[in-house]
Amino acid sequence: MATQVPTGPVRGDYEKKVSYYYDADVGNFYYGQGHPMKPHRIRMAHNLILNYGLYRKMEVYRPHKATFEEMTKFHSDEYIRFLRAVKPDNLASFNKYMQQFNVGEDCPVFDGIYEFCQLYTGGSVAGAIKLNKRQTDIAVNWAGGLHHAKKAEASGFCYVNDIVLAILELLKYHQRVLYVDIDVHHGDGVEEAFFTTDRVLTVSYHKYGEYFPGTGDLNDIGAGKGKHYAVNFPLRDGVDDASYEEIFAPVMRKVMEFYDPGAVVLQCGADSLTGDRLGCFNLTVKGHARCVEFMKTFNKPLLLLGGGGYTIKNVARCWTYETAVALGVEVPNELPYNDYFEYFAPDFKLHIAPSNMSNLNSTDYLSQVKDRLFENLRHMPFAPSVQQHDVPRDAMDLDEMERAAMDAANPDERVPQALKDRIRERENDNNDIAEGGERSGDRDLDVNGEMPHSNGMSRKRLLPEGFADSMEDDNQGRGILNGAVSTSVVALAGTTAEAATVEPMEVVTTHTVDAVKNPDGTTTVTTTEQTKTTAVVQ
Amino acid sequence: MESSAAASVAAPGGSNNLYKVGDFCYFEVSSSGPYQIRRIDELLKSNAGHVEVRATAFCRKRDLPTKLQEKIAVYEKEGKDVPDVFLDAEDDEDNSTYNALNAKQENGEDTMTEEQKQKHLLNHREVYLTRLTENLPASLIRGKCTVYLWAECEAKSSYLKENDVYFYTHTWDHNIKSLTREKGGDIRVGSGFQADVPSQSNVDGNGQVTNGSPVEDKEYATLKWLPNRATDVEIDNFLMMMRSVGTLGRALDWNSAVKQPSLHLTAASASRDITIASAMDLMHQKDYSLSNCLRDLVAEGPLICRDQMELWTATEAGLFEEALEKYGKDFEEIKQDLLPWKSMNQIIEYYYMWKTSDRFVQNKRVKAADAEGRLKQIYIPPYIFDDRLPSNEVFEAPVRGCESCFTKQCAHWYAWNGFGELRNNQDGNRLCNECWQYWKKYGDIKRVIKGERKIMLQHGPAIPYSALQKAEMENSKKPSYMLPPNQRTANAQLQQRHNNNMNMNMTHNRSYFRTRPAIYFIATQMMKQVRRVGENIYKPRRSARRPFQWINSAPIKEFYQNADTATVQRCKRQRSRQNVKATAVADRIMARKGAASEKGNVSQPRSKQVFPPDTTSPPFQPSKRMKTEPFNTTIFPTGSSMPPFAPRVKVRNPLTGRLVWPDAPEDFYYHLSPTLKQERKRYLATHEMKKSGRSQRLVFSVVMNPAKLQAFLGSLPVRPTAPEVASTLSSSL
Repeated sequence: MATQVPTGPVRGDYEKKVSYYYDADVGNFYYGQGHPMKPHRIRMAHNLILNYGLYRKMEVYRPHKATFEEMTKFHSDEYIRFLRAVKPDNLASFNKYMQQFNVGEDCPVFDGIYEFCQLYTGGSVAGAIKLNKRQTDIAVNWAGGLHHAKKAEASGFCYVNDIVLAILELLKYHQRVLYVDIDVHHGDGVEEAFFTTDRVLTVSYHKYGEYFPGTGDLNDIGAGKGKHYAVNFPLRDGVDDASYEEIFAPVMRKVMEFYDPGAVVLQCGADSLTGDRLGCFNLTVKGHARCVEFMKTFNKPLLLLGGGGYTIKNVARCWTYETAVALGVEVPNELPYNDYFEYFAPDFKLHIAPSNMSNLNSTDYLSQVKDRLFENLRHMPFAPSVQQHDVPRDAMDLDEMERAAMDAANPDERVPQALKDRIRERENDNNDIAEGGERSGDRDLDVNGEMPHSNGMSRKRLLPEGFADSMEDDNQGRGILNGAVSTSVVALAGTTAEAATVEPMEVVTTHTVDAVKNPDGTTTVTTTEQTKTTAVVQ
Repeated sequence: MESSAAASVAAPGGSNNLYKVGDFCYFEVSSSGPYQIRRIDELLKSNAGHVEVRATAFCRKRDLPTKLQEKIAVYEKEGKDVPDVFLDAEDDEDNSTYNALNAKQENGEDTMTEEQKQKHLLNHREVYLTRLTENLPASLIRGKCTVYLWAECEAKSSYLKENDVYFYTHTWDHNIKSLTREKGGDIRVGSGFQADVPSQSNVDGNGQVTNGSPVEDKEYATLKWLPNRATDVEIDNFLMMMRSVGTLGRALDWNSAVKQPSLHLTAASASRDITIASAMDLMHQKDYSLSNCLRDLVAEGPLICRDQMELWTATEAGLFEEALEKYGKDFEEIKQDLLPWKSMNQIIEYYYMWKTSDRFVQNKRVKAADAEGRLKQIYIPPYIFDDRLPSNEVFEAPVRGCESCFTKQCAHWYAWNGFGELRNNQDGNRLCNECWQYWKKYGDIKRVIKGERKIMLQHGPAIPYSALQKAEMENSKKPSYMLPPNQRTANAQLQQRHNNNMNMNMTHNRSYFRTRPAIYFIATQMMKQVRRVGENIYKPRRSARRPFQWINSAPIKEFYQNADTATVQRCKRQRSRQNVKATAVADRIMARKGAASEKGNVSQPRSKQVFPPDTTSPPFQPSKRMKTEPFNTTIFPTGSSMPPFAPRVKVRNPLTGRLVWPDAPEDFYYHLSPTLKQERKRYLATHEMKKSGRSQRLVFSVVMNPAKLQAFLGSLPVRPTAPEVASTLSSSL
């Protein structure tokens, strides 16, 4: 990963299937006079997405309203009942609850408050379900991402924590879920909800010190079973693109390496952009979207959510561009005409320039924090053993899908992109899996700061850059393919016309099944599969 | 000096001399004392042109109360982190432990180790955030500095590498006398806070569901679009057709045609996002078959998609603008008071679209002029030290040399009276230029003075720590306590604004508020009476011509109190008109019908009254209206005549997605002929008239005698068209 910020268009290395959730009503909720949170920004982003022609490249859904039952999977019944009942006209009768649920100041009671919560929560949960069903690679809900809401308390313009609900949904299918938060504010609601579990790792980059919500100290690393599963990167004013990249990519790479989540949730709060009404960072749209681009390269099911963002024209710019990044599509810098075109005066461009504010984050400071975080990550038991239940399923699943898809594929048609991606994802597994299943459930196992290279997990690595290009070159006939690349060639051989000249000579598939008796009496079954293929290109 | 700072506001310059909100800077409050460290919270331009800075104060350790410094010293001595410290009342007086401690602290400079020296220097870099804000003239700014919140992973000594760099770890709140660690909050742990996370996923090693039913077959979202089903060209073509049909539809629909007379406008209306969005929806519904889409597009006449921008009439737009001016963006109130027939959703959608209009841009310009008082940044030329200032006299080289570094070579010498203790030292301590700068910035000298008491604030009146002391003194009278910005909520501002409204503080035209508060003046019955009684004293007509002249209320009051009932009664103006029953009014009108030599001035209405169109009700029902509003003798829509043919046009309501009647009534003009006016004046009581004027939705209960009404409407067809009604009515009068 290059450390410099890209200036050119987004590279469409991996064309992903994107599902986008939007409800046309969401823009018409109004927090109140003078309140900086404006749901209208979601509509502005949507109109840009529509007029840029990004809309037609995605699956678009109108989410259903989340039900009371869905919301109470995290929130307390009492709190949701309160949200459902309270209205601006009957505020007086709820006086005693206002304090309890922290409603009134930052989080006003406005017309349609419950409906608003239902809509944005519905989008996030629907996205999670879609990812669970493996029907999409990236789910996008810009209306969601309200990361401050607590179990029984509103906070920081957030009422219902759609992120927690979406993660709970993802946890049904994934043993480990990674949550990343690039809002300028600390993602305290999500961190708190999963503070004591090792099944969710929360990472938050935020301004710290004399700033809402006050939490997010470097030393907050989780508690109980969840110790070391909360990562906080406190920042100071004026972070620019270069600094952010410098701290985002290495930390996230390490996190992915150590934790190997089944799914990733990325909260793209746009108040970390330069010139935000409440924020104090100096990121441009490109620098912000770089995070999305980077998380995308891990090829995990990815849920993109909105969040903060109070200079609404920049929020719309940012989320539009990030939708394009998710799709791997280039968009021109000239904004297309739309209903709210005048909002983008005076330049009417997609990208914004950073301000001249000084960056109070010295390189020293950033690297010191980074070192400290790495240190913490090393203490994290590498890939907790319970995960093994999950991972083999993936392997089986994918094999079956691959084979089924290969059998069923029509040679005259292109292989669905989603399938191709999955096939590609699998390739590196072979390299990583050596011997597996030895790990016991002991969480305190000391790894001596060393990262065991393989342990029966199917660890998916970031594909080498330019991978797609090289594959194409090879397809055009440059000799014998072997190793990682060949698998996909085989997979493609039967299905695509262009690969017709490639004939698999030898396919050896080895299944290894390891059964390990755990101390608690359960048996951990690990299946690994190795496929060796040699292909000759004529 | 102040004016020069203000004049240079717009001057371009390096960012070093540009001071923005959020920057940290030095303020020179006293010429002999050190600078004050402040953070700029707001830059305000006063009416006189001076720039004032509202700033948050940081204080040095020596600015803290003595007792507190002692406590800190104890912790530091033991090498511990300073925890949260609270001072109680006793601490203020008791001073005994301090001396003991201070005695121990004495250290000869010769015996200083490197470590201790560094500690001494580090002490200069540590500051404390306070909860104080004060307004200072920008001309006192003497340069920039930076204050960091110390992060645990940093070595404090790293702060010594650079100049003008400080750190803080604690916040001093003088109101509650507490020194607290700058740590916002904790993540709470407990069943009341964490989500219930099952220890493992519902899927076992074989991909089988183990418990529950995680395979959610329930549809959680409605599909609106599938990619790769139609080519880009197909989509673009269909969008073009949709827009064309929309343009045609609007041209055929007389209601739109009136509003958008030019083809350009019509085409622009047909190209708005709602049309595009509807086109995409339609394509999806028709399974991406272009021919099916087209069929549906013109199945029952051309399809028009209208958003709020188009649905609102000019009158409604006017009302809305008026309301915005009056109430600000309180849409709830706007809806209730002026646009009750609109839904909240419609108003908000319209508001955001209205912001793109020229009208808004104009408004914004006005606001921008208003906001000029708030500056984003100011330029202050680099401060050049002026040694001609009396306080910075140039002295002969002192015998002892510089108090701090003992140099005897220096261009300027500065009188330094140390920490107050030494101020009686008459031969005068001198500092060299360099050490003087250090003193000004860091509030100490580099050398550790033996036996020197650093804890000086309460003992050293010679150095006025103006901000802090003044604030402490004034604390009891007028707290300058402000919440830190992150705790100031939107609602607090609202509250503030609300309070201002309550005080009717019209003169207090602070630039914080975007819109001026509206005044609603209620005259009580009593007040009205007094006004009448005192008419002779304050001469209302005369006063009205002199709006800025004060009216002395004392004599009026006196007169009223002394006046007997009879006088009051006499002064009360007799109601010249009696309340007459509406039927009587109607009778009179009927009686005069045709008698008066009226001209049918239908085409030139002199006065008009707008009735809000009700978009939900079926279009034009003159017979119903006639029954309830018999005075609206000439009702006709804005358009002078109906179009030759009205095609069937269907319109999709953007909110409900349902089709709505496109020909909803436009604005109605209520034309009043002079006769009617006369009659009305005669028979309707003033208060009734006014009441009807105020409440537009009120259907005034003036019901005609049925028989008369029958006669009145006798010639009307059951469901006449508007022009028919108009002509019938005008001829009937």
